[in-house]
Amino acid sequence: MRKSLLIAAALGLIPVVQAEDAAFVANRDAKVDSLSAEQIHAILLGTQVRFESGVPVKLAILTDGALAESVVHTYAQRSLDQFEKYWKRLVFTGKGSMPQECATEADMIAYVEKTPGAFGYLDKSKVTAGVTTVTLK
Amino acid sequence: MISQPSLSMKFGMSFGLVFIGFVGFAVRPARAVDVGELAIHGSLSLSESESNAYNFYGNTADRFDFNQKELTLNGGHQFANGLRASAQLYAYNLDGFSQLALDFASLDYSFAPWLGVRLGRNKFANGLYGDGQDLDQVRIFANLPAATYPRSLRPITSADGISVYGTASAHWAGSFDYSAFFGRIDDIPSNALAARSADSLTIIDELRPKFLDGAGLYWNLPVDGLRLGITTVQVPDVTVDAHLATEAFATRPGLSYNATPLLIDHLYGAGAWDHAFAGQPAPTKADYYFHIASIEYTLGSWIFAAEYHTLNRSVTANIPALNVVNSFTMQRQHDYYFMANWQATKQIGAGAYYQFESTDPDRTTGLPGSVTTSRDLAGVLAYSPFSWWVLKVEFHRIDGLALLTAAGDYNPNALTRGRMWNYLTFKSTFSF
Repeated sequence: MRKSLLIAAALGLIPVVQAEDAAFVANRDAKVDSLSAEQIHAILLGTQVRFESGVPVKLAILTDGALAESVVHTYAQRSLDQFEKYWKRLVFTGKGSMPQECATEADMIAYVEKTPGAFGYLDKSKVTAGVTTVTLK
Repeated sequence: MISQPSLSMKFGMSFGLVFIGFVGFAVRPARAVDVGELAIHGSLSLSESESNAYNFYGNTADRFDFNQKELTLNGGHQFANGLRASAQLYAYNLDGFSQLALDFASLDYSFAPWLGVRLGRNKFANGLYGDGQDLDQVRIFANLPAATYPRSLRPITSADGISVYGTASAHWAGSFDYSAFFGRIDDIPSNALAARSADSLTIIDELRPKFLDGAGLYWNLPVDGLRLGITTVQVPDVTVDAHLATEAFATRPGLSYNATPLLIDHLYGAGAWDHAFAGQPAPTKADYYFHIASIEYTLGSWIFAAEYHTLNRSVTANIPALNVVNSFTMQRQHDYYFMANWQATKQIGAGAYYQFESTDPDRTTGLPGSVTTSRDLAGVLAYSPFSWWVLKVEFHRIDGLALLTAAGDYNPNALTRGRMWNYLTFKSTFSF
């Protein structure tokens, strides 16, 4: 995955901000410390709706920005536009609930801190003590 | 049919779409509306179409027709235990037929990524885009390839029953998404597009399907963005209540002209058909089988897709007045398309597709290829000035008249005007 990222970046196919600049965070009640890339992929696409602890996932996504594009491209294999349309299709066909959409990282932190089961991502430097940082297995 | 604007107003109708856009801008819908714990989403679409030759899903021959209006309202809630409840109303007017439908209403619980269950009215998988054919906001094209996704079959996109679904990892081989469904579907009234007879000799009073069942399997290959799929849907044991048409209706010029009443009148005297046969029952039983094989490849902002679709029908006709008893026929039709979509920027998208359809691949009807085939070359440009508003202009250049048969519009000049025709659509969609 790292090699393909470097190639894609060299081709200008992905933004300069890398997915490695992002931290995944979860509400403390989710009782999740680490996830694999496949699990993050499944959560982002709504095919995994529960953590291993049994707590239902409440996904939160950033709606714009280089970091959002990079995370969605790396872990969901979609552009931000395709990702938004993917979720709209799930909602309008009865197969999913729209993730919480956060315009800023401050909104993301606020939502993840207060919402049981919340899971999201933001810049590493913006993580606060009120959430659990989820490491990549 | 809805009343038509004069030719001098046809461009005004186009501007009407833009005007409605500015109204929508003034309202500025949010991404979703939260009413307590309920998340509300919706969309409003308006289409205007015109053909240089034929009526196609509207009164479009040589005029612009405001032929399609759609309103969707959707609500959902996820409970603390993971159970999800959602419902959607879908109101539409297409080619003069209006319906307010409960599109879906279900309880959804996922036990594991590989097993989930939905109970209630569910939309079911049908090819890559069948379950989302109303969702203008999630694709670039205003109209999906018409032979694969005919708008006349809109009533058969959800069923009351059960659906099981899931995603299973295949490790080095990627993953599989599957669904299997079974349910009851509503009767289809005589004024619905699906009830338009291809044959002028009989007029459908009602289509009474009992149930449908089917399954879909999609393979997400270990190549990023590539997936293959196959779906199958069957609607067996459909009762078609119908009666024999009048001579005037059966012999009106067009694609479905039928000379049987003239023959009867020739044998038994003028007026014999209308006196003795018109209105007599002509009940039919039919089984329908739909299969679609699909491939889709997403590469950056490009999406490429191709599908091959078959529809097989077994029909048992009874026309007691004509001594037709349990007349059995198998009918087959197929189509395929290749499509490319490009979301060039956040605001601008473009697409193109080529579709071929044959309603008589086995050459059983004796009709010429110009009537039983269609070749549709289409292009579209989509512009989203705001995230909640998309405008589309789509052009089709079509060789062949087979698409007209499925749509069921009356085209008195279909056999004289020629096989080449154009179709232009403007569409405006707001969503939140």
